[in-house]
This record gives sequence, structure tokens and C-alpha cells, in this order.
Amino acid sequence: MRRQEGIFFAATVFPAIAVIGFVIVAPLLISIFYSFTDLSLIEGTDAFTGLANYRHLLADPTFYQSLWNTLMLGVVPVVGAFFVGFGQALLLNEAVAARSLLRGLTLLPWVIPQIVVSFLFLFMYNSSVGVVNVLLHDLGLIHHFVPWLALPGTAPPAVAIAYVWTEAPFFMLMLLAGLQTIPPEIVEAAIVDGAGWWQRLRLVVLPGLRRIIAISTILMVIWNFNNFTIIWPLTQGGPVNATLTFAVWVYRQAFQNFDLGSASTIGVAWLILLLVVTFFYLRLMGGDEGAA
Amino acid sequence: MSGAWRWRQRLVLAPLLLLSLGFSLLPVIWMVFTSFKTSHAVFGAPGRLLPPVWTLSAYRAVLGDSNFVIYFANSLFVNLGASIVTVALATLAGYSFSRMRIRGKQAVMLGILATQMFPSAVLLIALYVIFRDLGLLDSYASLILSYVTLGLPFSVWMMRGFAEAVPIDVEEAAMIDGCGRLQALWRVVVPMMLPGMIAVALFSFLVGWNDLVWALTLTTSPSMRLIPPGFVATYVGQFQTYWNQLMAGSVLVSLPTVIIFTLLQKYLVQGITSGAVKG
Repeated sequence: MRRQEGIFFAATVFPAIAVIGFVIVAPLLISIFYSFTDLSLIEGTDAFTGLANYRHLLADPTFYQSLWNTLMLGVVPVVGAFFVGFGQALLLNEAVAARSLLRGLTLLPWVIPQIVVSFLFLFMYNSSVGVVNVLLHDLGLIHHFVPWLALPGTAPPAVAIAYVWTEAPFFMLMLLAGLQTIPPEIVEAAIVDGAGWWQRLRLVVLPGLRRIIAISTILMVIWNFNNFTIIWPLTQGGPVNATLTFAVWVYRQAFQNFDLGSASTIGVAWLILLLVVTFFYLRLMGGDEGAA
Repeated sequence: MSGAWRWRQRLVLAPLLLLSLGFSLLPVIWMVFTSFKTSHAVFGAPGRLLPPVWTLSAYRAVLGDSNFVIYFANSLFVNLGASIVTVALATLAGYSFSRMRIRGKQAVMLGILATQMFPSAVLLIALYVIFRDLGLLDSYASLILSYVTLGLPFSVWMMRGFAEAVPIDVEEAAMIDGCGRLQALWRVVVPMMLPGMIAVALFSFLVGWNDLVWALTLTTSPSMRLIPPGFVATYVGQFQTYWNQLMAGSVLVSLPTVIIFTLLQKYLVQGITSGAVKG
């Protein structure tokens, strides 16, 4: 009977593990191996070159710019999305009447496919017919239409705003779920004790949401580090590398320059960055046995 | 609470709610209204929200474009296939992970979750070579397998959570009545995990529908293209863009996710938030 149990468990877990092994773990290890070679799809080279790629990478100013861009576009939009999403969650938590309808509508930017989000912002930022230019011009804030995505100074914030718009609803969803687990009696007790709105938020609500805020924030940072779908149609990493993140750089290096060796090296640097963040994420998820 | 206080509260909340809804919905409304404009209206009066003349011409153009229809059908086929496979694999694995009692289980589960974080572009470097050598580039098989894997780690976690909510007594009773474990799983546990399976199917579908880099890398021929690389190929770097058609296409591409989400909001919200809210 116990033996049968063992076979059953092994047989049911195996397919999932095999797929993950074949599509994630094995390619990851192979890519790390490639980083020590000069493998190229067009030149046909695949010699072992030791640490040469890493020396090149660390001497390349593009690497530091790309690291900076990855961190900035990873973290800054999350801060923005957190404040917007938290505000929305607090509002919806008060609005009892039509909460599920309002929640659905507020979620739309997150439900819409990322490729659509990207092209929608491409349209709105357009330098001749974009509504952003039309509005700012009519308000007298700009005198000429600005090609927001084509200037190194404005492209990163423009991309970040697109991230905030589509990601704020995720925070709203998670925080609203969290808010609803806080027993109303506690909040009412605080009101009776004379706590104002700000005090209630700081002393009662926020402590109850700490874990959910941490998990959502880390997940979101990781997603941003890996985002390609939104950024690629908007800028392809340009102008002059102003929005070149590791995700975009690896793709360009591997599938436009066909230089798999150096693309893998960038990938390893990116991986190290992700591992640091993932470590914190797993500590949070592993903290309690029943987390799903 | 007194009535006066209520009213004051509403007076503060209403404008804030409007602001919040405006932030979320105005870009969407802009997209929808643009899709009903003529190209002439987009270029002639770029700041006008409402179409001067409501027309379906952009939709007719997009749906009459055989490329768009092919990309759309490919996307639907690949993502539906992937979510069915994902549900099957995640249900089996999630159930067993919730029932087996072995040491190191939590470490294995965390390892599975960690693979979700690995960057797609890095995996694709090696996978491109592997799929090329296997002759699987430009095939539905490689796309479906990839999309299954993209959502699988988190799906296994979700399904374990849902399986844990099913009381063990129920299946033990079934097993005492002579069912094998597989039969008990199929007859007793699966029906109770149905909401979870729906959430996983949805999650998996959304993950695939949001991807660009896998589809861009693993397919080259136009007949195999999915929607996201199709959009990039059609609209990025064009001299003149027919924005009304692009927006009409965008509305059509958004429909599957918006519809599914509206119908099944409850399950998805539950599935996504349950892990983080607990504990």
C-alpha cells in the first residue's frame, strides 16, 4: 500500500517537474555555460573563452547604464503603482455599495493584455497625433509637440508611467483583499479610542498589511526586471540606450546580433540581480507552511 | 454612525472615486473611441474624444486582414492548449504535494516557485538552440510547451493551496469504499477543486496572452505568428500608422481576457490573493 502511494505521488508530480526541468532549468544551465564561450549564430564560432566575456562586460559602460536602467524601471514604477493602488484599495474598501463593479472597472488596466497597453501608450505619446501632446499643449504646458519616447530625458519616465498605469490595479487587488481581512471591530475600537484617520492607517491598517505589501512589491519588482512586452514596442531600449534594460539588451544581443555568448553573460548578471530579490521573496512565501 | 457624518464621508469619497476611475478608464475609453473613428478623424482632430462620425471601418479593415485573423487564431489555439495542459499538470502535482508527507517537500516547492522568476530572454538563448536542433522552431508544440512552463510553477502552488482546502476525510471515505487514489482524486477531489482549476486555467491563459518575447523568438514565419509579434511586425517602425485600425485590433485582442475576467472575476481574485493574504 505504501509502495503504491509512492508510485502514485511520483507519477503525478513527475510531468510538472519534467516540463519545468526541460524548459527552465536545463536551458538556464546551458545559457550559463554559453557565457564562457564565444558562441555566435552567424559567425559559427563556439570556442571556450573562459572569463573573456565577463571582462568585456565589466569594461563596457553600456553594462552600468543597463544595470541602472533595470533598477530604475524595476523599482520606481512600483513605488508609483503602490501609492495609486493603495489609494484605490482604501477608496474601494469604503465604497460598499458597488464594490465588485468598481473593483472590476479599476482592474481593467491590468486585465488588458500588455501588448495592448504598450501600443495604447505608443499612440498616446505620439508626437503628431498623441493625446498627451494635445492635452499638454491645450493647457499651455508645452508649446510644441514633444516626441516623448524619442528623447533620452523623457523616454524613461514615459515608460515608467505606462508601467504604473497597468500595475496599480494589482496592488489595489492585493491590498483590498488584505484590507478586508482586518476585522472591522479593531478599526471601530480605534475610532472609539479617538484615533484619527491617519493614526488608524498607520497603527491599525498598515501593520496588518505588512506581509501582503512586501510580497506584492517584490513580485512586481521582479516582473518589471523581466518586462519585455511593454518596453519593446515603446522604445526597443532607445533612444541611445536610455531605456535599455537587461531584458531588452539580452534579446538584442542574442537575436539581433546573434552573439549568444555575450548575451548569456549579460543574462548571468541579470540572474544574479534577480536571485537577490527572489531570495527575499521565497523567505516571505516559505515563512508559513500553508501559503499557496 | 450619524447620517451627517455619512454624507460628509460621501462628499469626500465621490470626487476621489471619480479621479481614480478616470485614471484607470480614460486611456481605455480613448482606445475604444479611437477604434470607431476614421483615419481621417484621427489625424484631423487628434484631441477630440468622440468620433465625429461613428464607423466600423477600422474593424472591417482589421477583420478583413487575413494576417490579423491568422495571428488571432494562432494566439487562441496556443493559449487554450497551454492552459488545458497546465490545469492537468498543476492539478496532479498540486494535489500530490498537498497529500504527500516527505522531508524536503517545502524545499522542492520553493525551488519550483523560484523557477518562475528566471528571466525568459536568458532561457530563450539556450532554448532557441535546443528547439532549432529538434526542428521545433515555428511549431505550435514549442509555443504550447513554453507557455505551459511560464505559468506552471505558480499554478502548482495555487493548486496545492486549493487541494489543501479539500478535507482529507472525504477522499479517505471514498478510498475505504474501494476507490483507488486516482479514482478518489477524479471522482471526489477534482469536483471540489474546480474553482481552483478555473483560476489556474485563467491565470495560465493570461500569462501566455501577455507574452511577447517567447513568441517573437520561437516563430519566424508569418503563418505561425501570434498576435503580439504580429502587432510589432505590422505597426512598429511604419512610416504611417493607421491608429484607428491599431486601436480596433487592440480592442479585439483585449476582448478574450476582459470577457473571461468579467465572468470569472471571483475565482481569479481568490486564486491570486489567497496565498499572500493568509498568514
